[in-house]
Amino acid sequence: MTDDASLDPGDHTVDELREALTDVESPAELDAALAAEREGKDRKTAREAIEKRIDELAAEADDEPADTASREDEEGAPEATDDPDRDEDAPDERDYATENQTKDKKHVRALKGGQYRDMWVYCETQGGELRDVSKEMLGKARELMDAYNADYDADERVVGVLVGDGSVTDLTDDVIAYGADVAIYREDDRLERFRHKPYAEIVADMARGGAEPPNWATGDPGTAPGADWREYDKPRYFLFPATNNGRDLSAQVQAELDSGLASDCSGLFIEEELISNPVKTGEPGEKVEFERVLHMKRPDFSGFEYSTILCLDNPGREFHPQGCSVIPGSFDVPDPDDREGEVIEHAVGLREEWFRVEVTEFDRLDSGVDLTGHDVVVALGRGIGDDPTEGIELGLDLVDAFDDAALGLSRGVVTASYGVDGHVEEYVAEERQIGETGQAVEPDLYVAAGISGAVQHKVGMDDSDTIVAINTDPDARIRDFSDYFIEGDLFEVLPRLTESIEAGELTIQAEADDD
Amino acid sequence: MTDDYEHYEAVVVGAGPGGAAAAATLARNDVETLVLERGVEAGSKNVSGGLVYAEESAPYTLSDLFPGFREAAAERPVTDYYLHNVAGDRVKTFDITDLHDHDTEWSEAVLRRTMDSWLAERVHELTRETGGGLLTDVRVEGLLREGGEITGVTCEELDPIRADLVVAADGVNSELARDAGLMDWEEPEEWFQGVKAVVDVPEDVIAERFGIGDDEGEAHLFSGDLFEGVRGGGFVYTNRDSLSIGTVFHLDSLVAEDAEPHELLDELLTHPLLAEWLDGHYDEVEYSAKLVPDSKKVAHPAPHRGRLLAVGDAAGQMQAQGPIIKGMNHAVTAGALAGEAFAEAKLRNDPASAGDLYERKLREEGVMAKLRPQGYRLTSALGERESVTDLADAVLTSGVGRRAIRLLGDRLEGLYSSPILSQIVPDTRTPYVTMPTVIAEELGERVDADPDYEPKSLLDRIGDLTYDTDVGDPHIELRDTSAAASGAAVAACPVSARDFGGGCYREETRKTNGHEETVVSLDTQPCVECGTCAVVADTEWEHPRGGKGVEFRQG
Ligand SMILES: Cc1cc2nc3c(=O)[nH]c(=O)nc-3n(C[C@H](O)[C@H](O)[C@H](O)COP(=O)(O)OP(=O)(O)OC[C@H]3O[C@@H](n4cnc5c(N)ncnc54)[C@H](O)[C@@H]3O)c2cc1C
Ligand SMILES: Cc1cc2nc3c(=O)[nH]c(=O)nc-3n(C[C@H](O)[C@H](O)[C@H](O)COP(=O)(O)OP(=O)(O)OC[C@H]3O[C@@H](n4cnc5c(N)ncnc54)[C@H](O)[C@@H]3O)c2cc1C
Ligand code: SF4
Repeated sequence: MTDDASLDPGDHTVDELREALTDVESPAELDAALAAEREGKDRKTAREAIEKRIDELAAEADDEPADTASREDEEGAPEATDDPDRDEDAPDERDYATENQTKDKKHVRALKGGQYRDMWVYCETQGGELRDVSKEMLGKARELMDAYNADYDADERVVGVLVGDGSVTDLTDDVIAYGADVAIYREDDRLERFRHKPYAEIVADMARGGAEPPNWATGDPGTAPGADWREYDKPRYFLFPATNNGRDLSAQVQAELDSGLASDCSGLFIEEELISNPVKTGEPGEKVEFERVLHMKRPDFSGFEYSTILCLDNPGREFHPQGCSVIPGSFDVPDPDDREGEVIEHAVGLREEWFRVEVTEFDRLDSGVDLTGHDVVVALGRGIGDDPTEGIELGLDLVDAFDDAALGLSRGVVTASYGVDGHVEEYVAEERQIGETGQAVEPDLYVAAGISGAVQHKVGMDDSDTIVAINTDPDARIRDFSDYFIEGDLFEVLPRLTESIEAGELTIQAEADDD
Repeated sequence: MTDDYEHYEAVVVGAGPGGAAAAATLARNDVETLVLERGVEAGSKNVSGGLVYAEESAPYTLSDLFPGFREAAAERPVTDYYLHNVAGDRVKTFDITDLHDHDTEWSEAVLRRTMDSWLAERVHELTRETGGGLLTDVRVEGLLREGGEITGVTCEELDPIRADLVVAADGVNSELARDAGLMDWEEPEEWFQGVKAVVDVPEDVIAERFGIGDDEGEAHLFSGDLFEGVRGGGFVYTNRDSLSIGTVFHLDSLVAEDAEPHELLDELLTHPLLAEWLDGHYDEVEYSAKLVPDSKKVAHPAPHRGRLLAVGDAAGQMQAQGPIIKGMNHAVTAGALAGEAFAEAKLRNDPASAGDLYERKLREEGVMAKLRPQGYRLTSALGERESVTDLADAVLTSGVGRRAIRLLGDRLEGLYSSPILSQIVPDTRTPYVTMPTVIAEELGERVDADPDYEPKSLLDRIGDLTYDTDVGDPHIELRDTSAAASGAAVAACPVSARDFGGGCYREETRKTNGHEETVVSLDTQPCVECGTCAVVADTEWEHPRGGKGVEFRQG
């Protein structure tokens, strides 16, 4: 799964895996293994075995009372804990050498005395748009960093990361509008779909600011970051979405950056934390206050609680960025704002070998009829009940009359027992449902035939430019949010509409009373 | 693999009053206890009318088990109790506070979200001490059986869990009791259906309109002709700053009359008395419904199988004492007795005897006698036959019967207040409909007030509920779409109605090769999980996954 993690859980039965896990000492490797399991076989028992090992490692190094409900995934403590601002003060003590390598932790290429700043957010896209979870994270990051800057009298930024084909360049403004100060992107046609290797390489390189990591095989020390828009080694914090791709990416990138990952978090805040664990403090019996600690809360079943995961430095080993993946829906989507921001193109070269895995074919799960992005949507409701087969035919006729239209349905039709004839049967499917539990569309023209306008339907269509409703009931709720209301039987009105569209004379105006 | 299953001494399924009482008792006896609740929070799935009783004769009450309960989690004590006999706009009101006070240490109006979530916090604290705890968002799907024995539970969200004791406190439509063969969901006459609206009314308006102080509250029951001849009645209970207004009907009667539960509720909501109370303040904030077992018919005399002990509604322990509904208190008693039974059995090194011990305690503590009163079987044998009912009704409505009622006059109030009579009245329309109607016609006074509001439409009631839909994974499947098998649900489902396309059950006409057939279709999204269609339609009925489905804020 990852270059470092030798352990691919998919190669093992769960029992073998338990055995193999006892040899793994690295939290990052375990996190990677966990991510690999999730992406792969996703066996619950296997996941638990890995999680158990993670807990064991944390416990081994943790003399905190067991019931504090907090758990440290990574061990370590900063060298100069009494100097909270060491980031600013000690740039020259940075050490890019390979000395931190240990027998167990071959992957460790961590810095000492590194500089860390900013909160980074990996913004996943889908269909040329930011996914909601990306907006949610940007909003949360904004909120956290505003408070951070006030609390610590600092001036650190929210950095939104975009990777993809050309379409991502159009999204940099959105990234800023939803909360980022900086939008950094890398676009290339080959990056159209998520692929583990190139995406992970790019994001890790962005985070390192183009620095060359030390090479263990040759003993080459690393280089300092080259990016000129920032003056630090690595991000202080990094948020990824806990989506399929986000989980995959987060495990690898955090491992590349020699840090840990708190997966599937749903709560975040930044605060001090008093730690007594000697692995962290370097001083048995002493408590040390860690500053600016990102507290990452994750729901945890068997613990009956939320675990709060902290990613703290060790005396001889720094763990940054403090990173996590965030469960979609954990935070609100913020209102976009008219904000100023910086847009950075990250021009890292793309190596041919990153693309050895080729996407030859892809399939959207749920096979998805996509009703979004059409000029017109013709939606049918239970008003077709008198003759559902004919109703659907009439709806399809109208769809065909437009250049770019799609057929949608109310849930009332999707869940009916109509038993329509074979040739239209395929159209009665959940994937055509519009509304709260279906798709949300906003075409130029929305024709709602025989739909009463329940609020759960409304939320999926009332951003349409023009809404035309056809209904026999002049008191139907849909009238309240229609631009044109045609009181009439859809079995008569639909064919007439189709005719006039085909004839190229849009006569809606003439027939409708404009509400 | 199976060796890896987690094990607890006791697993309690459901965090209603029954489960809370069981878990608290187990935890206090140092039994390692895990409580599993399918709601996002305890109470988010639960509905009651709202009067919790603490009976003087009961071995356990809520305040025994959870000190501070009344102050922290209840709405108002019930200090006055009235029964309104209704015929059109005539009303004859009896004060039956005496009946209410009989054997009552205290009684409080409650809202279940507040009540159950408060109890759950206490339960979590108590059970955590034992190495267990309370987990929400987990739905138990069935019993774990090994070698033919019940050894634990299986869940959708977690691996199977083994336990020495499984308490089924999962309420009405208990999937566990059914899995164990203790209950079935076949006969409508074994159930009531309760439907309720919570209406926000400011505290000072309640004080003024009901004439009550801070530590006072009222209960009002309604029977007579305002429910289209359906057997059952209505209630209005005062909460701190809201009213619980609802109806409870015999399910078989609802089905027989093809009545629409929401319309019956509307009849109550628009009655002149309500019009006076709600004038200018009809702000309905939640519509809800739930089946209620009729203990007289279904309280299981031996509610246990192997390691499984069923308590509360899951064991049918819901007593309708005439108009007074007692389910929560019996669930509490039974839960505590089940906990006690296991603790004792364990002490004796014979945990397997817990079930028998529990059964004996239910009998010896007098719980069974309340749930299945002796007298009822006698009167019902005679009284529930249609011919007898017709005869009784004919006499009552005749000149003779009417004169008798007039003569009895206010002595009727005393009769109505008889705890014994009220336990054993037959389930016919005579006591529910005919009698109160005649009483009101003969003795009642005219009340006239017109409501200044229209009851909310079903569309809005559904629209205002909170749902977390498990998209693509409906929890109910319609096995038979024919009107004969499942058509009754179209009216009886509290969120469906004939000629309403936005409900769960709808009727459709299907035309094939020239002939027409009426079929039924189902959309589970508006479902409030009341359980009605599990009984009246041909379904594969389950509760939704943990945390999914409707979420009540009041309950
Ligand atoms: C309209 C109405 C009015 C009523 N009025 C009164 C009244 O005035 N007084 C009175 O005493 N009683 C009244 N009752 C009856 C009373 O509500 C019940 O008898 C009482 O709630 C039973 O308690 P219980 O603990 O057995 O079950 P419940 O309170 O139903 O609790 C069961 C719990 O189990 C959970 N659960 C169910 N299945 C699963 C599963 N598979 N996995 C995990 N968790 C699960 C549920 O979410 C719920 O929290 C009324 C009922 C109704 C509907
Ligand atoms: C949690 C939840 C989520 C939901 N999610 C969705 C969702 O995503 N999408 C969705 O659509 N619904 C959803 N619903 C269901 C929604 O509440 C409505 O039930 C549904 O939209 C009703 O569909 P309808 O308008 O087709 O049917 P109805 O409400 O039955 O309306 C039919 C309309 O057709 C009219 N009519 C009848 N005959 C004719 C005729 N011959 N010509 C013209 N008009 C005629 C009638 O006057 C009526 O207005 C959800 C419900 C819940 C509870
Ligand atoms: S669908 Fe069934 S369980 Fe759901 S509300 Fe209707 S009758 Fe009750």
